[in-house]
Amino acid sequence: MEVVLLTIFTPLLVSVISLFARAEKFKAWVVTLGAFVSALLATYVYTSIQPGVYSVSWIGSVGAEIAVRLDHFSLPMGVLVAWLIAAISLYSVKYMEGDYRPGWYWFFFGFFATSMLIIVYADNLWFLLVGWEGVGLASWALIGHWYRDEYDKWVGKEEKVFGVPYWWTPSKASLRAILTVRFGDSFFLVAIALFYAVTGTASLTALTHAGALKTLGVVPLLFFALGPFTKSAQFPFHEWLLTAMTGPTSVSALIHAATMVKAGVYVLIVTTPIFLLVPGAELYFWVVAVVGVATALVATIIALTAMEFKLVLAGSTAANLGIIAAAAGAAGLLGLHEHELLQGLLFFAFLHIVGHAVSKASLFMGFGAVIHEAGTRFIGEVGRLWRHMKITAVAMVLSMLSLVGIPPFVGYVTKDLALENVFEAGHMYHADWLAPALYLLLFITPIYGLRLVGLTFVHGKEPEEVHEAPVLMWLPYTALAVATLALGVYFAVAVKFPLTEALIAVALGFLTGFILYIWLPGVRSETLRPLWEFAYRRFYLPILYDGVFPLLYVWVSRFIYVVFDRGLFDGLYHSVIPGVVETLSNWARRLITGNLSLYVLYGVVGILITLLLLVLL
Amino acid sequence: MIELFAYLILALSIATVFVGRVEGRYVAAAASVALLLLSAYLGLPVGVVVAVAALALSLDWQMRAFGVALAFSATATALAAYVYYSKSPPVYGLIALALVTASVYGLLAMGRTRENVEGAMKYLVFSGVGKVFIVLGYVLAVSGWSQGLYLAVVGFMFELGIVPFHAWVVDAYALGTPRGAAALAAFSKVTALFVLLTIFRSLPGGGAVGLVTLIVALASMLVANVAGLTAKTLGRIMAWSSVAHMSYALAAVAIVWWLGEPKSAPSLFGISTSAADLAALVVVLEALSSGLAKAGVFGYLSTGFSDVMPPRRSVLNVLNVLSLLGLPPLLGFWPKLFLILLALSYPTSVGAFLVLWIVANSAAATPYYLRALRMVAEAPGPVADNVTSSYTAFVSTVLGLTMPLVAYILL
Repeated sequence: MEVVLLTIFTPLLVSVISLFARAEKFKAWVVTLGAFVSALLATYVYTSIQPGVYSVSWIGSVGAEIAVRLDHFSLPMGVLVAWLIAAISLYSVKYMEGDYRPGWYWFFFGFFATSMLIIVYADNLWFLLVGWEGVGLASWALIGHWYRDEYDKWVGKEEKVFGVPYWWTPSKASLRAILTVRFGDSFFLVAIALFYAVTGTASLTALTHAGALKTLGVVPLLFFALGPFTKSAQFPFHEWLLTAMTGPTSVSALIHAATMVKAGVYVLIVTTPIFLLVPGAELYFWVVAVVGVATALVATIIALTAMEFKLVLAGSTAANLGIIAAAAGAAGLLGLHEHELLQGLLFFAFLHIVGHAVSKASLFMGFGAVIHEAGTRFIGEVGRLWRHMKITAVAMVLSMLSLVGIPPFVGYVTKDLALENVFEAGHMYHADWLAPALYLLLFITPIYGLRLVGLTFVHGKEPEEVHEAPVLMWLPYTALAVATLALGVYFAVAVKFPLTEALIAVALGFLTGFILYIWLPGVRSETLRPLWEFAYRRFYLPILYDGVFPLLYVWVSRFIYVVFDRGLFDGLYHSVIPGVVETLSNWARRLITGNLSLYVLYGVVGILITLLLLVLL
Repeated sequence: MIELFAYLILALSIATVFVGRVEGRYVAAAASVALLLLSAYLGLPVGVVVAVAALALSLDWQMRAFGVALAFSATATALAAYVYYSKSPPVYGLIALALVTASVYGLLAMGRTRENVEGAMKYLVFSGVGKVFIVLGYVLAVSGWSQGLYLAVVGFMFELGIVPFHAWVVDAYALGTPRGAAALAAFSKVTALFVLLTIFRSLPGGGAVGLVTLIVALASMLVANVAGLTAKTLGRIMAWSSVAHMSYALAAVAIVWWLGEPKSAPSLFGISTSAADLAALVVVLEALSSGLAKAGVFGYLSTGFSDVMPPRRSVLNVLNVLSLLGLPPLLGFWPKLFLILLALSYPTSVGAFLVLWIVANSAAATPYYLRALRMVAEAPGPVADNVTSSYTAFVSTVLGLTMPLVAYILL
């Protein structure tokens, strides 16, 4: 228990220490050291500590405990998260060098790490909620890290679409993120409270056997799902993740690719066995699966048409989160009928968290180095970087091959295993529309990957002075790129090497992408332009989030202001009550006229009143 | 031991022969010292507090012939307190009441301006009417006439300035000399309250009379606090404050008159006491907190009357005003709290209603006290704190801070 708690809280401890240092280097290295200590401890926990639940009491009246669960999900996830944090921390030492806000960055980096590790290891839902809210807060702080809102930190260009600004500054993006996440969190909190109220426990382990859950309807499950949906940027809540790219690239790698957004789908996976007990769970699993597939398709199309390096990667992240969510939902659907297969199916979904995290962390760091060295965030403004950044180019190609699902990279193995769940669920429930949707997804994925690699490293406008990234930067992402291959081989041997018809869709997509962006670049179609525009504008969803919703909010707030604030409360407290009291006060005061006769009259009236009261009472 | 007071009064009467030759403040100061010693000798803490207040006023201001009036009024107050604590015959209290009325009249009118005389005259007339009712009522009550208590209560309503018998209070505070207003608050009202307590103890309580008194007292505090909200000058704010404070005090007595002793005796700082004693403590503390704080506020004014904005600042009177407001731990906080505890000792909806009413009234009064506070703290002139404001602020603070001890002594 103590070692696990040390694993979790070491990053927070060092981040607090960093607050007291003035030197930027000290802050960076002390947090990085803490991250590596945490990673080593997580490895020790994985290899040496007996699985089980360990807890100490916290707030007994609501069933809150500081409880950690060591099982086949949390142990590998802990290792993955802790080492990714350590690697990205090392990368950040160089990437954030000379930044104008090092204290803020390094504190929230450590704060985030601890919060994320709480989610990974927590067995108690209240304890989990602490980490859940912590990563939300850290995400807000780090997305808006560059609070001066310089142009080169934006997402989008300075243009308006239907009167709605289509660019996002770090400040605006961080607000967007926290508002979206908090929306889901409020439902998530209600759901946890309901679970506790119904079952009397908030322990994930105890809930797995809680018979009282049978009295719970499906609505609390849907409330619960809103937490992971918003946190993991599932459609239609994916917008915040795309604009979160205003943060430093190291933050994008850490929070918006490898860890925080994974928290949502991770919670969906670990809670699936619990929700199997709830009547109506089939609907819940369908919602999760369908939302996952929809997210994967929408986000893949966004990635295909995005014109910023990080936006492509963000779209790809949302797409893979969708795949994981769909796999978790499908595992639940299959588990309803074949309960003994559930853990295996969920493990397939879980594996893709690992596969995607390794690939995506490497890609974010690598393209962060590209943006750092080339000085632009737009695709097409710089090209042929193969000649200038050879190590980075090789690492990015390896990671991209993994991301888009080319065998034998880890991305292929884990994605295919996850999608097997979905294919199987579609087959079992006769959902014939699922397979074509998944084939389309698999077809498009390699195209956006090769587009990004082709237009960045192979073709395009060659810059004059671009150098390879410093060793402290390329070392982490190159190591992770190599790991994509090593892990792919390992999983293929240790778990399963899938060989399905899905590979044909991937191969066709790869071939198309290769022709369009590597072999014969520059092919354009004016006929497809409206479609491209529709996708490029992210299906015009930002108009809803940045135009319609704020407008409605303003209208509602004005209505409340006019009717309640000014009309009712101001009117009551500033006009009516003071007016009445002032009138009464003036009336009482003006009885004192100085006229002695009147005073005598008051006395007589007083005597009469008291006499009357005496008679009446 | 009451004859000692008689000697002092006799000595003061003789001293009136020399008032034309000696500045009255020296007579007042000497008499205050004598009263201080006498009170100490008799073990009368209220007498000590009152004697020092008179001494402070005499040190601060030239009193001319009215120094004797100041000495008489302080002596009368100490006598009334002594009568109550020594359980002497109430008739001595009535004598004290008569003595203080004549003295305070003189002090209110000592400026000899038209306003001073008008304020003093109204005090004299209505206070006189009140005394007539009190004496008549008391005589009838001890003679076995049940209506006597009612008459006495009406008399106290005049004397204390309870709404609707309050009109004179505003004019007396606003138009009388500030020294007179200070004496009115610190001596006249305190004397009247001690006489009220003496009669309260000596006459059997009548349920209906108690209820009527309570209703009038509750209505009175509301009217006073509402009227005070738009009062414009320091004198008038203090006048409405006085009406409210006297209403709180009368309400304490009326509750016990009406409901009698509760089933479970109230407890104060761990001391079990009777409701009657708790009500008496409320009255004494209300009298002292209101009287001392107002003596401090009026005692620093150098104007001819109080119906003005203060020309000079006072820092220490901020404490006095806050005490009147009832801010803990100042003296003025405790009688309100004890009144609430008294109401709560009756576990009925009536008790809850009384608590709500008292708290709402205290809250409603806040704006006008804060206005008074700004008047004294933000006046344009230099700081004009003197012995009176220093002493009263000190006593309001120290008595507040040591309230468990004070309650133990007075209960």
